[in-house]
Amino acid sequence: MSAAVETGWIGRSLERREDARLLTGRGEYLADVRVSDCLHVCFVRSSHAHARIKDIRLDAALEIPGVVGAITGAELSREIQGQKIPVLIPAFPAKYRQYWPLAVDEVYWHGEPLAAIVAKDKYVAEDAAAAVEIDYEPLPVVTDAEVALREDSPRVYDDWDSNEIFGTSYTGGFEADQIAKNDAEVEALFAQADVVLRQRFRTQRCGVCPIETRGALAIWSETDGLTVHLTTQRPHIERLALADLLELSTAEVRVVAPRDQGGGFGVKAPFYREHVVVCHLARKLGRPVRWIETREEHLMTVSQERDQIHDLEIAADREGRILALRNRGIGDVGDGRQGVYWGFVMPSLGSVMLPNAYGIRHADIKLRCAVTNKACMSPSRSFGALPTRFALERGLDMLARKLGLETAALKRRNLVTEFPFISVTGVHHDSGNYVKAWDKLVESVDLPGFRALQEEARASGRYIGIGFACGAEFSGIPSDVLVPLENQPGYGVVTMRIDPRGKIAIHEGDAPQGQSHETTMAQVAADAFGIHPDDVSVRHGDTGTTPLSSGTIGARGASYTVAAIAEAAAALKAKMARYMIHDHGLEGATADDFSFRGGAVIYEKDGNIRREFAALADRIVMGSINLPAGEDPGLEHTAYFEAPKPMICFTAQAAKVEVDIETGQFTILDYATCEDVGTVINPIVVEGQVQGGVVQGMSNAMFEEFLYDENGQQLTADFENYRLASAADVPNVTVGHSPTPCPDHPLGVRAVGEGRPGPVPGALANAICDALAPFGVESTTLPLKPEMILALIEAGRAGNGG
Amino acid sequence: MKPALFAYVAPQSVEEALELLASDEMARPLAGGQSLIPTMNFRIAAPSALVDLRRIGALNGHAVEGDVIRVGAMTRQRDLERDEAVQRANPLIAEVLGNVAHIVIRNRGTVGGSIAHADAAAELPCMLVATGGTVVARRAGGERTIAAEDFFLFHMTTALEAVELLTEVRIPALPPHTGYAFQEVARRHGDYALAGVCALVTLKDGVCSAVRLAACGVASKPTRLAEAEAALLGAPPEGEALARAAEAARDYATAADDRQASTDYRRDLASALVRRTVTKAADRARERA
Repeated sequence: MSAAVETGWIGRSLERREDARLLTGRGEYLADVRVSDCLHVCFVRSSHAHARIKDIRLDAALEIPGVVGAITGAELSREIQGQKIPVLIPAFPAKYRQYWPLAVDEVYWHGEPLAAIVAKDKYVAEDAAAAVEIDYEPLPVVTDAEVALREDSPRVYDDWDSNEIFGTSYTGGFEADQIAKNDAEVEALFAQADVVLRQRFRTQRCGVCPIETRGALAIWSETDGLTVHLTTQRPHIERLALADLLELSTAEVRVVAPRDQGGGFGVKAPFYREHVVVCHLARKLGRPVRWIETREEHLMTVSQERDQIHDLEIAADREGRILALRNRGIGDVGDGRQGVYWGFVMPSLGSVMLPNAYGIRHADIKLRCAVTNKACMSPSRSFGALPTRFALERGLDMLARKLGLETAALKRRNLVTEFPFISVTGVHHDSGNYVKAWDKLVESVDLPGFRALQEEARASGRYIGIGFACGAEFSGIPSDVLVPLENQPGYGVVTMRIDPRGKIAIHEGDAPQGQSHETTMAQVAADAFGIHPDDVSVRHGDTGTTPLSSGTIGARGASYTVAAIAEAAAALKAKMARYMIHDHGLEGATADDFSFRGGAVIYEKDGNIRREFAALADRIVMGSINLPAGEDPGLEHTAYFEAPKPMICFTAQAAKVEVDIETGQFTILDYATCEDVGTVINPIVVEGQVQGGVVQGMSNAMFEEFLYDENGQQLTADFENYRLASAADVPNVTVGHSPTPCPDHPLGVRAVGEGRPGPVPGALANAICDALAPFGVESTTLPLKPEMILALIEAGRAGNGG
Repeated sequence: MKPALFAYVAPQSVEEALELLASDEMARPLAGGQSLIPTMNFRIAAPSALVDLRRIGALNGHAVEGDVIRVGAMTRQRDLERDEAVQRANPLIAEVLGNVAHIVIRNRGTVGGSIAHADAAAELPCMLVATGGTVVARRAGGERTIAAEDFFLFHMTTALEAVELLTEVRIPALPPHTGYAFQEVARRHGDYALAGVCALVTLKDGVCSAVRLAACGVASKPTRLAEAEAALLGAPPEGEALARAAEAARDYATAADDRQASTDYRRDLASALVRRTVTKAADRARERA
C-alpha cells in the first residue's frame, strides 16, 4: 500500500497515467507488437470507381524476390465461407448486400481491395502490388446521392431496383396511416405559422483522421488457433465476426486491441474486410502476417462521414417559438457494404438527433439514403449528427434574423425545460438544466458588450460576429437502443479482482484509443475503496481476459463502463463488510456501518475495529477457513450496468470571429463552451475531450473535404489535399461547466466523448453570418471556404445595391 | 507508402556530385528532401539514386558581403531566417520565410532546394524575383549566374540544365529608403499560398522612386507585377495610384480554376494583397527614413 493514502479521488485533475509512456516514445501500438518471422501484406486496390474485373494476373508480382504469396478475390472466396454475421447486421429494414473480403468480378469504388500480396517486407509488397496486371471493363458511375435516387440513374448494383439502400420516417409512428396523419398535422401548423423558414443545408464528405491508421497482425497456431492484434474499438464483436467468417470456434479466436491506439473516433468501430484477409493469410501460410494501413489507403477507404443534404423547414410564431419542423434528408453512403453500420446508420441517427435540445412537439422528419460509387460512409465522432446540428443551428439563426430577434434569446426560448422529455423522434432527455448551462455560456461571452464592440468595429470597417449552437447528446447508449440499432448489447461491464496484497485489477472488454481509461477508472475504484489509484490497474481490449462488451463507442466509457466499476466496487465492499461482521462478531451490523478510507476498512460505530485493506483482502482470498455462513472466498466480481432509460449530456458553444471582407478569410477570436457532463471524474480528461472534439468540429467546418471527380476518382488521398486543421489554425477553447449530476448513474456522471464536434460548424457559420449581417450573408454549405464567403459578400453587396 | 528501390550516395564535393549526376540520368540530387521524399513515397518520383548534397561543405553557409547576401544552396531555411546579420541586411527574407510551411519543415528544408524546386506558389522564388536576386549554377568545368526572372520558367521548371547544380543563391540587401512587405493568403497556416505578394517600395519626397512587386500562387511561375509597379512609380503609394496598381494586379492572376481557388478569387486576392503590401512597405520606408 502506498504511504500517503488520500481519499476523494473523483473530481481531481490527476495526471494521466498513460502520458509518461506515450510522451517518451514507449507507447505500444499495433506496429510495436514484436513477433518473429512476420510477413507483410499490401492490398491491391481498384483504380476504377465501377468496373467489371475481366482478368487479374499475379505472375509478374509473384516473380519478384521476397514475395511469398498473393491472392485474388476469387481465390479467397473459394477458400472461406461467406455468410451473414448477425453481430454485423442491424435490425433495420434495409438492403444488406453480401460481399467478399476482396472484390470478385466487379468493383464498386475507387480503392476497393481486389487482391493482396504477402512479402518479406512492406517495400517488396508495394513493388509487387504495382506489378499486378488487371483488365477492367468500366461501368457507369454515380457519385451524387441526389442523382443516384433518380429513376433513370445508373445503378451501383444492377440487381437492385433502385439505389436507395434505406429510407424511413422518424416521426408520427410506424404505420403509414399514422405517419400520414402526423404529416397533415404538421402541414396545418405550417399553414398557421407567423413565419416559415425553408432552406437547404449541405455538409461535405469528411470525418476524422486518427494519427494511427488501421492495421492487423494475425498469428496462427495449430494448438491455440488465431490470435489477432487489431486496431479496433470493439474487440469482442470482431472476435465473434471473425470466428463466424473463418469457421472457427470462438475458443479458437483471440482478439487483442493493442494497449495503446493512436485515436479511433469511430473509424475503428466498424468491421473491416481487410481484417478477414489478414487472418486468412496467416492461417493459410502458417506464419504471422501484418498489415499496417498507409495514409493513402486510409484516406481512400475510411474516415468518410458527414455527406448529407437537408431540406429543412421551420415554422415559428413571431416570438420565435418553434411550432413545427419538417425535414427531408438525403445521405450519400457510398457503397453501403461495411459490417455494423452499412453506411446508412450514421445519417439515420443524424435524423433522430435533429431536434437537438429544443422542446419541439411537432415534426415530420424523413430520410433517404443512396448508395453511390464511393467509399462506404464510416463513423466519425458526433456520429451522423454533425450535419443535422449544422442545419438546425444555422436555420434557427436565419429564423432569428428574419424575426429581428437576438439568436441567443430565440434558442433559449426553445430549449427543453421539463425533464424527462421525449423528443418527437423518441430521444429520451432524462435530466439536466439546459437553460442554466445556456445562460452561463451567454454570460461568459458578454453578449451585450460584444454587440457594442461589434457596432464600433463596423464603424471602422471591421466585421466581427458571434454565433451560438448546442448539442444534447447521448450519454452512452442502453441496450434498449443498441440492440435494435446494432444487434449488440449496450450494458457496461467490468470484472474486478482484488488480490491478497490489496491491489485491484479492472478488466474491461472495451478498447480505448486515447480516452484515459487507465487514469479515470483507477480514480473511480480508488475512490470507492479508499486506496491510492496507483494500487488499481486497468486492463482492456483482450478478449482472452475480459468480459464481452460492445466496445469503446458512443460515449459509453464514463457513462456505462464506469457505472459498472461503481457497481462492482459496491458488491465487493459489501462482501468485505460481511467478513468484517463475521470476523469481529458484529451481529446486526450492515455494510453501511463500514467506511473504506485511508487504506483501511473501519467500523464506524467503533473506530478500534478496523482492518488494513490489504490484510482484509488477504484474509478473504488466501485465508479460506472459518468463512461467514454461505459466503464464498475470493474477491472477484463481474458487474453489468444498464440505465433504465437513455441518459443525456449537454454542450452549449459560442464562437467569436472576425471576417476580412476583402479576402473572405476569417479568424476565430474566441471559442467557449459550457458543459453539463454531470459529475466530473477528472477535469483535465474532460477538458481534453472538449478541446479535441471542438477542434475536430472546426477542422471539419473549415478545411476537410473528400472530393471525387465525375468518374469517381478520389482526389484527396493525401494530407496535402485532405486538409486537417493544425494547432496554428485553431484557438484554445475556453471550457465552462454547469453540472447536473445524472440521477440514473451511480456516480452522477454524464458522457463527453461523442457529441462535441457537432455544434461547432453551426456556431462558426453563425458567427461569420452575424459578422456579415450588413451584407445579408447566410452560408448554408460546408466547408466554410473563404472564397465562398467572399462570393456571398459580393452577392450581398450587389443585392443591397452596392 | 514506401518508395521504390533506390541507391544512395553522399559525395564530399560539388565536382563529385556533378560526376555522379552525369553518370546516371535517373539520379536526383537530394537537398532537404521536403518535396522530393514525399513524391518518392507516393511513387510519383522513382529516381535510381539519390545524390545527397549535405556533406558538401562548399554548399553550406551564408554571408552578407556588401550589398549582397550570399546563401549556399544547402543552407537550411530556418538558419537563414534566424541570422541577425541577414535580418539587418534584408529583413524581407525573414518575413517571407515565416510564411514557408512550418518551423519543422524549415529546419530541414534548404534555400537552394526550394528555389530549384520552383513551385509556382512557393514564397522563396517570389522573394528572389521581387528582390532581383540571382542563382549560381555550376557544371563540370564552369559556372554561370542566372537572374531570378530568367531562372523560373514554369511551375517546377527552371533554366537549370541537366548537367548543372544550383550551388548558391544571391539576394540583394534592402536598398536605402526602401520598405518591404510580404503577405499571402493560404487555406491554412503553412500551406502554399493561394496568392502571395512581395513588395519593395522606395520613397523619395513622398513619392515612389522605385517599386518592385512580385506574386506567387497566381500564375505558372513567380511573376513581376510590372503594370502595378508602373502605376505607382512617381506617385505617392496611396489613393488613386494605389487603386490603379491594385486593379492592374488582377490581370496577373492567370492560374486556371483548381480545387483550391478559382481564377476570379485569385484576381481578388492579388489586388487586395498589392494594396496591403504596398501600404505596409511604404509605412516601413517612412520609418526607415
